[in-house]
Amino acid sequence: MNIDYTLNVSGLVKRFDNKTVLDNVSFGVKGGEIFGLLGPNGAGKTTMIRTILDILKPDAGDITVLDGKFREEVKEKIGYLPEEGGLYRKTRVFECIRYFAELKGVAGIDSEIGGWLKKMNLYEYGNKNVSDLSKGMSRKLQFIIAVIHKPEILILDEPFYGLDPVNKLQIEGVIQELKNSGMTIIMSTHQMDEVEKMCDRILLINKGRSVLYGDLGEIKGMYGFSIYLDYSGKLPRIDGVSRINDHGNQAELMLEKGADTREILRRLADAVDVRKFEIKTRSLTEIFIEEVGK
Amino acid sequence: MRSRKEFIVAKFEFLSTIRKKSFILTTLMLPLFFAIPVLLTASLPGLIGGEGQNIGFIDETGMLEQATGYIKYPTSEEAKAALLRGDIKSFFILPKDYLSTGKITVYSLSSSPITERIDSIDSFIVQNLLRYAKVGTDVSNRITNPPARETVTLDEKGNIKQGSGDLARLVLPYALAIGLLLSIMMSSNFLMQGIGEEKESRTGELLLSSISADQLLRGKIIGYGAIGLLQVLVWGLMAGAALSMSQYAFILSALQISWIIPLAVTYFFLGYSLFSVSIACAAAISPTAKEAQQTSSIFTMAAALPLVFSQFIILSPNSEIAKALTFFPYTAPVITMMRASLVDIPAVEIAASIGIMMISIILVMSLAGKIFRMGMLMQGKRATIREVIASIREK
Repeated sequence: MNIDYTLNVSGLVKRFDNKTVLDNVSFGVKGGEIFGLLGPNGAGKTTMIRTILDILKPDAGDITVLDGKFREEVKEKIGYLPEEGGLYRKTRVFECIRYFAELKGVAGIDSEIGGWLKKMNLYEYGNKNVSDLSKGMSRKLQFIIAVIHKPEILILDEPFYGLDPVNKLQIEGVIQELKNSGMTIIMSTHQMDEVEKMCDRILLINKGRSVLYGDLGEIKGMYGFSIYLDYSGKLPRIDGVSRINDHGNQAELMLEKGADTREILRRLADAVDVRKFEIKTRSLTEIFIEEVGK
Repeated sequence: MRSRKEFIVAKFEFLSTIRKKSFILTTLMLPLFFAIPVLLTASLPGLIGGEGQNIGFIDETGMLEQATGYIKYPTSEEAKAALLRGDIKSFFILPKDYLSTGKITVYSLSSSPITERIDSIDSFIVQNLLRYAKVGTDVSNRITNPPARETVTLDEKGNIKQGSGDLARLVLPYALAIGLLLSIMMSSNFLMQGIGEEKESRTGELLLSSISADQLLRGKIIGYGAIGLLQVLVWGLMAGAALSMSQYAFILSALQISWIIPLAVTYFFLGYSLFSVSIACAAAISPTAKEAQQTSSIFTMAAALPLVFSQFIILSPNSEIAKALTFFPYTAPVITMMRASLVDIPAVEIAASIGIMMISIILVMSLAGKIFRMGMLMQGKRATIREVIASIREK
């Protein structure tokens, strides 16, 4: 066990009937970081989150939260935004927040609730029923419920689900604020651009097994570089290029380790009309597709 | 701190439900729904304008005297004409051979003469016969007003048993048995609705991230139990108010505190705890409210089973079947209340019955949390027996 970790998962196994959903998964989340929990649909992310939250019990392995074994009181120090649902539609917005806050052990925080509603542009809806809110507003309400009790650990499952670009930007900003205040954040999402923008470290799981784990920059460094090409003509076969995603006028060329980029540019210039040539680290989307597709 | 969370859940469920229009309507309108026909029947003679004033008669015996509300006609033709004009609502002929045959003929424009009108004619004839026979006032009053009975039960030594004539002993157990059944039905209905809505809105996962399944279940049981009790209390008060204003007001004054009340209260809470936990699990593992209703009907049917056998139990309250149902936890509350109104149940039987119920509640509660947790996380499908067993085996 690493005592630096705010959350430490070791050798976690979870089975349903005879199906192993989580197979010996281990990882740690450092205090104050944004940790990305990634994986394709059915990889075991939701089971992982439910097990961390003690909603499901593991068949094997250990989970240590905030320097100790999971205790019922720890639930009050964790905030959770589920992917879907989680609201009483026939209840007033203010009462809904107050109820979940009381269950997390905080009461008499009406002014804080008002402050969060103002911050999320929902103040005028405080006395309306939850059913009167749009999908985006409901998502922001769920976000308030997840953070109203000032948790030490915040678990966000698809936090940008159902949000338009303006609201998405607003939630991004709030997550950064919370991180800056020292909150530890675990974010499960399929939006790789958000992970690249926000996460410090990641865990990629596939079919219940850990595939990638570590610092995001280091992981991207392990996968080498890509060339982003804007061109016209027919792309040739080039040494040092492992795979090409050809879209017609644009293409991404995945490079092998140690590939000679000058030589590749020369070969391309001879074969096609190159309008733009850019060398970048591999995107997380590409890494995700490559690892999950194996 | 942990038990406080159960009361937070209970308070939320209670306040959310009692504000619902469906709850307010059911609580206030259902008694009115039953009261309206009763009130209408009670006030029917008044509504139709005083039946006594509109009855005609033809007396071929010479025994009847014209009285207030009764108009004498010399012939049936004249009475018929008065009936068709609407002067009278009905008329009857007392034939010459009435004393030997006891038969009269009543004419009316309606094919089914109103009961009160027939009773009034009978009473009019009896009073005239008593007067004709010159029967004294005291005897006449006793004939027209039957005796008020008081039953006294003696023990083996010939001493009067305490409370043997207490009406509460007879009425209260049945009232509490029916109250328990009503409470179970109403509470389980609200509980099922609540769990159904929660499954639909997927709040279960968020709730379980804040409290344990056991706490959530206990909170819901307390909340919905309070709702059921509130409803039965409102109905009880409304029934009490209606009784106090009626000719049956003496029943209320006869209700006295006896040993049966604490026994009834004990069974009430034990019964509700067992049924609500069972019904909550049935609702949690069902994908829709309709299926939840079907699954939980097993338990409500079990609760009502003693009422199905009530004829047999009244005849043989100490039979083997009645005793067996006293020891079966799902039938014990209602059957014990019914038997207690008929015989003195041995203390050892009551103690065994309560003990079995308490053990059953502990057993069901220990399994219910896990089943409830699994059910609340399951969406769109019914849990299989295998899944239920797997959830029980989970650590």
